[in-house]
Amino acid sequence: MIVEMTLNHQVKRFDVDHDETLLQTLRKHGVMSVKNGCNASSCGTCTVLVDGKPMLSCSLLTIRLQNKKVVTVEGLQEEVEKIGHYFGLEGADQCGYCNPGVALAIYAMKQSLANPSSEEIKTFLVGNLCRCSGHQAQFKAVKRYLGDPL
Amino acid sequence: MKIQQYHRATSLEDAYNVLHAGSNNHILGGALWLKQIAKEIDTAIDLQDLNLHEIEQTETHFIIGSMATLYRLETAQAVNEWCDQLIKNSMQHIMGVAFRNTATIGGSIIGRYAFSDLLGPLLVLNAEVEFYRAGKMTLEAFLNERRMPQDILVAVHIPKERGQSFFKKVSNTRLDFAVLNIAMFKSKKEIRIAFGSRPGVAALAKEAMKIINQTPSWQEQRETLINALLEELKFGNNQRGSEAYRKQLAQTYLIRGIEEVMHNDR
Ligand SMILES: Cc1cc2nc3c(=O)[nH]c(=O)nc-3n(C[C@H](O)[C@H](O)[C@H](O)COP(=O)(O)OP(=O)(O)OC[C@H]3O[C@@H](n4cnc5c(N)ncnc54)[C@H](O)[C@@H]3O)c2cc1C
Repeated sequence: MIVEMTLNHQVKRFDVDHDETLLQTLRKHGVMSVKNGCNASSCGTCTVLVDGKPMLSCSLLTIRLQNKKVVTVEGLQEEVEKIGHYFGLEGADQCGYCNPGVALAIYAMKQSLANPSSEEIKTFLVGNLCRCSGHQAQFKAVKRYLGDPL
Repeated sequence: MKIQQYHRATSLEDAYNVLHAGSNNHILGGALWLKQIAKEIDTAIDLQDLNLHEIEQTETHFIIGSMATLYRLETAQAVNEWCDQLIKNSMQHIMGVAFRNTATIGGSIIGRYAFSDLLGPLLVLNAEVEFYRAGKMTLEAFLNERRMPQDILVAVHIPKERGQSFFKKVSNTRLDFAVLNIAMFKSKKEIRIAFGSRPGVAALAKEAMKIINQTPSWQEQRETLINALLEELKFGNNQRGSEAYRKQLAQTYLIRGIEEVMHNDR
């Protein structure tokens, strides 16, 4: 079945199986920033933005996304570079596997919460797991990024 | 999960007919749970065009469409203002925001999941569920029904009642299912209390409610209250916690919850 969507600001048409997930579609078409971590809606590495909202691409059926707007880090270069800069400064980066997903979640949080408290930041980002750098350095980087104007 | 056919329903009647056309046809909520449990689906029925994702209000009720996501309800200011943030406080403990942007209210209710962090809060808010064919019934009646309905959940109705709330989820890690959860709501009329993940599905602690609602000096009745709770509701074992641990948690949070809703009402 053909699904038309806007992917990273360009209209795309994909011929997909009924049970194909967005994660599969994206990786099949070369969007390799989106990672397959747990494939069970639990780790957040496959996070993408759908109509501006963070969602788990491992659990979204592509067939349901007719006319939706999907954004991955490839479509958000400038903001992602800023986040990456603060991650670097805080040493919040090791293997980098979770970074694309968490960067999109951080960006979505900045869009939707004005001046979030520490608790609100943690609650928003709790679904994006990092298994090597620990979350404290990420948390500091997020705080610095939130200080920047959008 | 394998899906043979995909059907985008044009009306509730259409969805209902396709659901009944085969025993392995399923409604798609957010499909998060389905993905984990269903190996093969003949026809997956998508309700996204039926305008079931809205949250509306009348003079007396909030009406939550079954396709509204958990995050949408969690961030619905009006609903949360009325219920003293009970819904928000309970949902924030379910995985992350990206997860809750997909999981639906309908999918979360119809499965009657024992671990649910949402059913207890909805029980103490006296919610009703509305099915396409079976019509409206109280959530409590639905949870007590023996058979799983082959029907479509259309909406959840939450009465507009002001009050004080308490919610606690005890879990071994932040993203895990609850060892036990407790929801409490004190309206102008009464206090209602529900325990979920016992590990049985959420239920009202009616005997304890009776005592507290009929006894002005409840402090003197702590023992009676706790005994009534432990006698009425069954607490058991599973890999997340033992019966003894759950009973200990239940008594502690019963008292803490009551103190909190009483205190905040002053
Ligand atoms: C990894 C994981 C962790 C979780 N952790 C928690 C937790 O800690 N706390 C908690 O409370 N919950 C938890 N949940 C449950 C979750 O919050 C949702 O309740 C669950 O995923 C079901 O919602 P859904 O929209 O994904 O439903 P689906 O998976 O789409 O559907 C579930 C069932 O309901 C049926 N259905 C869906 N909508 C309708 C409708 N409108 N009418 C009739 N039938 C319908 C489907 O056919 C299916 O049988 C977890 C789930 C997962 C997958």
